[in-house]
Amino acid sequence: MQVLRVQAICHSHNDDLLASYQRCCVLIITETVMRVLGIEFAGSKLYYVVIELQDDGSLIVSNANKLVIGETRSRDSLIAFQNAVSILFNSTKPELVGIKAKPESGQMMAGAAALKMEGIILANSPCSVDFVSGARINACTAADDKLHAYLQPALKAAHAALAKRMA
Amino acid sequence: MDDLPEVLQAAIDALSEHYDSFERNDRGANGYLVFARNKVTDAQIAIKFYAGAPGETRHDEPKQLSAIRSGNVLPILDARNISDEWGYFITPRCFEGDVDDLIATQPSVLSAIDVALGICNGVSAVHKMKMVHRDLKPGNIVLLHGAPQIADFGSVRQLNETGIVSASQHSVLFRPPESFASGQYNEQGDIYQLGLVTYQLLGGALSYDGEHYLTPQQRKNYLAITDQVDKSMFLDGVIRDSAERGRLLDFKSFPPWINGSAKRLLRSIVHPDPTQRMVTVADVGAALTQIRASMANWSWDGDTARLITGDRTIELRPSPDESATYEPYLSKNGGAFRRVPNFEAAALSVLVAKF
Repeated sequence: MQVLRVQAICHSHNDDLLASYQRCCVLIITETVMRVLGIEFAGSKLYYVVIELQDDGSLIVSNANKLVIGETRSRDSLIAFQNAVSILFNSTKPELVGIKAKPESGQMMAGAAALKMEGIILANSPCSVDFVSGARINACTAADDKLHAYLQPALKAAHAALAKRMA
Repeated sequence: MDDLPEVLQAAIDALSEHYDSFERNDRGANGYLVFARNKVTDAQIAIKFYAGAPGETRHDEPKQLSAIRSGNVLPILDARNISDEWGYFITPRCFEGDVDDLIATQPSVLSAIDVALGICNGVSAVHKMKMVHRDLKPGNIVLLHGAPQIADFGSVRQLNETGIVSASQHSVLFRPPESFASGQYNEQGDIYQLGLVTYQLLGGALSYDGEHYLTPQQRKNYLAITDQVDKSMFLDGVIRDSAERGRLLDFKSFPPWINGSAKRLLRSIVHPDPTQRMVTVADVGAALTQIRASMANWSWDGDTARLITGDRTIELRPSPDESATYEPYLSKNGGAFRRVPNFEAAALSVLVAKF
């Protein structure tokens, strides 16, 4: 029952991956709770969703919001954003961070704000960071009707990062 | 130093081997505060002497301070037990005063939010350790190298599994409304206090004079009371009533540049009903970044409102005719200020909206 719920939340096209994920979830049900922070950068905003794998095997969204960076060439603005990131990490205590990856070069490359926000996240993260490709995001069917549409990519990034960790 | 208890005078004698320039400070509550200078490093330090009944909780304040790692929590340099009753701990001396002093200088919008974010960062470090501060107020937050540092940990409590502790009896003005009736306190209590400090930093009025909150009828009743303790309790009751009704804060007292969305977010940080209040410090931090990005960096310089953007400085100066209107002046690249043409003198809020 618990495993089925996880399967419904994060269906992977990779059967082996999903099977490993399910096996690990069964272990986690009796051992620990895992907190994953999913992030997407869009313009000057950082959207985040925190999911928690509970000891009964269910996955819940425990927090979701957005941070906004101001002037990207203002030291005060970047320090303020860094403080906000530190607050986010202290408050949500993630054990894994999943970031929806954006190209660093090319036509679809991330903007200055996204790259600076990404740098601040990487430098301050208390745990490992998994960059989730667009393909992995698209393969993840996780969704939460209670979240705004603009938060769904961050939710998927969290789910996909968790799935990879469990594989 | 002569009026200090003998045991503390003896401790200062012992400390004088390594420190000099001892100086009493009467601002230290719940004990004695003494400033000194390290003879070797020249570092200026503050020595907090505290008393407490022997027991497991006696050294809670230095223990809790030293357990928290944050750039916005005052660091402990040393701590000693000097008698069955007394102990002390040493922190850096903060020359820049506390957040009350900063509020008195009317900081610019962005400076105010940056300080609020720093305080929020310190609170998040406290909550991370499953503790609540319970007495967050401007006087308990000092400034060190421009950064706010949460300094007074006398009210900090470790949360148990329920996440609830008893409410602090300190600072009735900053007490979360829900804690008056329940006598209980949780992390959302700290969020309320954080919101109050942010409200003050952004220019919201919060009088420390209890009589300010009296209605005409209450003032009549208050003046009829002769006993000072009863008077004080009456004022506490009035403040409690204002807090519980959500009337303690006056959002109309903000300068005109505090926009509607900022006020809306602030209201949800200080909402008297905890079920309508933000739940986590992360939410407060996120709200502060949103407010920061949505507002221009206005500040007061006496009666003049000033906005510096790039190479332009705009000043809104009171009209000389004392009509309560303002006139806009502009300076480019640090040059002389000139009256902005084609702008009639207008109310401050009208002009702020145009720039």
